[in-house]
Amino acid sequence: MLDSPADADEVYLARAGEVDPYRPVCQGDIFSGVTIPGLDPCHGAMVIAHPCVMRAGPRLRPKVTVVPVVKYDRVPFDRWSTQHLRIFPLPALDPTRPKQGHAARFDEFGTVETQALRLENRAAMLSQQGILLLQQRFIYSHSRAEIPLSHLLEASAAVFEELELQESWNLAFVRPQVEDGDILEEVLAREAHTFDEVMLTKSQGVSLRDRLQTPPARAEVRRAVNGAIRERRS
Amino acid sequence: MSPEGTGTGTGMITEPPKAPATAYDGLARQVGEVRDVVHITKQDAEGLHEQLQGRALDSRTAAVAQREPAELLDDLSAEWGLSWTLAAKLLGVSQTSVRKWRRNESLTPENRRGVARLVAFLEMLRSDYPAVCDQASWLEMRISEESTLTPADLYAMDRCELLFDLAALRCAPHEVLYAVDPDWRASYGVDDRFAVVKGPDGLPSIVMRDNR
Repeated sequence: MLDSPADADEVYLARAGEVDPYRPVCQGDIFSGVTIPGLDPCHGAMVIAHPCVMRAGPRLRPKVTVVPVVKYDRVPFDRWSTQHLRIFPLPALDPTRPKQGHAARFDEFGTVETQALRLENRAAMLSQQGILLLQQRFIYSHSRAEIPLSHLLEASAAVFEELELQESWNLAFVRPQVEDGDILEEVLAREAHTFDEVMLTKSQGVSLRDRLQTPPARAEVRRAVNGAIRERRS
Repeated sequence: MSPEGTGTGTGMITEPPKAPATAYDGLARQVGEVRDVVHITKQDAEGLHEQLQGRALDSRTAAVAQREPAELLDDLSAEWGLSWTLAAKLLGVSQTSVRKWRRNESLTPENRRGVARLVAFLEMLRSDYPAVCDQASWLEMRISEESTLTPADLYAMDRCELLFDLAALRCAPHEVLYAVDPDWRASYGVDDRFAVVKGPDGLPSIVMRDNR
């Protein structure tokens, strides 16, 4: 049986006014104002590409796979496991209109240019649990394979870790520069390169990025990156 | 000749012959009593130890809580090596809440105490259980290969007493799991249909486990 969340808060990391540009674009992010070539106009587009195939080094690839987000009847949480298996329900996507249901459809998808995903148009970001639920449902919809969330997490944990570290980096260094009047996109691109260099730093012949693949080494990598943030700040 | 039973009389009852008492009978009784005393003392000591550990954690929390919450949050990641997702799990709050705190939103008194208690717990692990060499990493490890439960799950369940016993190796992993839930294999057992292995590109890959 597929898993289900206890409530909407478990699905999202941020919605509407809570969203800011400092977390790198990730699977499950929902953007408004995006036209998906070949598909009917829709409420929004959800990034469906796995985080590890979206980037080439510090940059997003020029194109990214998305699925359409449409208005959809609210799906009660106790029916997530057994019904509506070809969509990902998006409960209270707009927190000001919690009764309006939405869903990401899995039966159609397309490719958009990443520059069409404007950060100011990011409407929502999924939590880690939300992304795992999305992956589980998407895989099931396309293959009938039911993969436990614990295994999906194990397979993606290193990517989630790096995403979180880069968000910390952006909060520490991008936000102050933007508040000082620099252009967001330029600062994000510049700091993405610096962050990438930090992640490529080798210790005992292994880069910090590669060390994230080893669960017992993750805490050490977090300390190293957060230590680098403290050092540069001071 | 014995009188015939009428159904109303008591008749005569003959006691079976007793085996003569040996020296072992007395010794067995005495050692049994010692075991009872040891058992009761062990239970008393466990109860007292749990109570004292709770008080030690409380008093350390009170001291840590005097520090700035923002500084404590910063320490959780930079000094202790916790991810924000793990911190949210340990604190029993959503990722969204922690995200807001990091953006300078103030904490409720209850959450401020929760953060202080987590730092106090990590300090106790470091000072009193030196065998646990990397506290954050230890919190994320599975307690047993047969279960998905981690020490972080136990902390979120407010079972610090079990964590201290696990850290001190006073309890075996399976004893801890049974203490959490006698039916842990059903509730927290590993789904052994799949495994995560290194794929041909060097990245993790989910494969069917060969259970034949």
